[in-house]
Amino acid sequence: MHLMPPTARTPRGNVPSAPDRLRALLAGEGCRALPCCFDALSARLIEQAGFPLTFMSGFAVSAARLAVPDAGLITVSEMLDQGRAICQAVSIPVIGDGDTGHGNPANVRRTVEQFGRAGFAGVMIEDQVAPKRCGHTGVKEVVSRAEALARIRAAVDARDAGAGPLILARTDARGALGLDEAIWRLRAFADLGADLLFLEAPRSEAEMARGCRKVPGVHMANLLAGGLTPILPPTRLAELGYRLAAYPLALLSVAGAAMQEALRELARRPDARAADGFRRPSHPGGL
Amino acid sequence: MPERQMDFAALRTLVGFDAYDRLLDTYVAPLGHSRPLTRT
Repeated sequence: MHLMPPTARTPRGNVPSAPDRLRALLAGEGCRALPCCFDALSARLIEQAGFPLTFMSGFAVSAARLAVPDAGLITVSEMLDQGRAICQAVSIPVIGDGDTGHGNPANVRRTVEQFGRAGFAGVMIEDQVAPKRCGHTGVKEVVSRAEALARIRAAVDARDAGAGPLILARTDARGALGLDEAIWRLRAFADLGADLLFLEAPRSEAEMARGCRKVPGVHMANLLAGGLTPILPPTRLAELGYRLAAYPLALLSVAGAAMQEALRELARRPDARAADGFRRPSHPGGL
Repeated sequence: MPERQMDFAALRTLVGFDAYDRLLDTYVAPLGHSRPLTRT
């Protein structure tokens, strides 16, 4: 019996590293759907469904692991612990949420190094003031241009010094300071060597198009149902210039609703349908 | 996507975004009420 599928076992020989596999994926054409995971099982399901990469969402991990809001309450150690479990469970590249980098540029470097050691193919660093907020909620503040650039420079330096993960540079300046400032920051992040670019929470298709057009590079869209950004199909996203389309809460939202439904059923008829599911398992097992 | 999903607002409430904001609000004191630091 194997605890892990063959593809998830420790790579040997000339198996490309996780960052190299991510790099190869990004060299392809079109816009890839990026379902976000929050634990090892959800990551395994994403891989099993045939998706070639995933993203560990900070919102989803905060919710699933601690049942707390995505407001900087979860620690970097807790995120790394969750990330190690995820990266060990799958062989597809995983991008992690490095939040604000958790301090000054020295902290950012260490955060990137630690994400690399945990097995991540990429790590996202953003320019919100710590403690950050979910990009689609409430009033937000971003750090100064100088501090934002220092964070990304530190992240890129850590990558180039051997830490490994590709750098996904995110700006939340659209909400705090407007689209022009957000575009200025994205361009500066690209000039510093960021591998992927993420304009958080554009308000319209026109803003999404402008962000991609004004800043050459690999752009990621964040498609959150009920969020501030229009949900567009992948073909349209590709036309606008996006290469990745992240679905941060799709699995968590569906899992939450399914659990609520199962619990309602179990509370209503504990001896009938729900219990029947336990009596006829496809693979016998215990608790 | 399955029809049954928790919407974003419900998920936010479940994990306590509003409670978090209310908690922070309790620590915002008017400037005139701030207590001066004193040596004991």
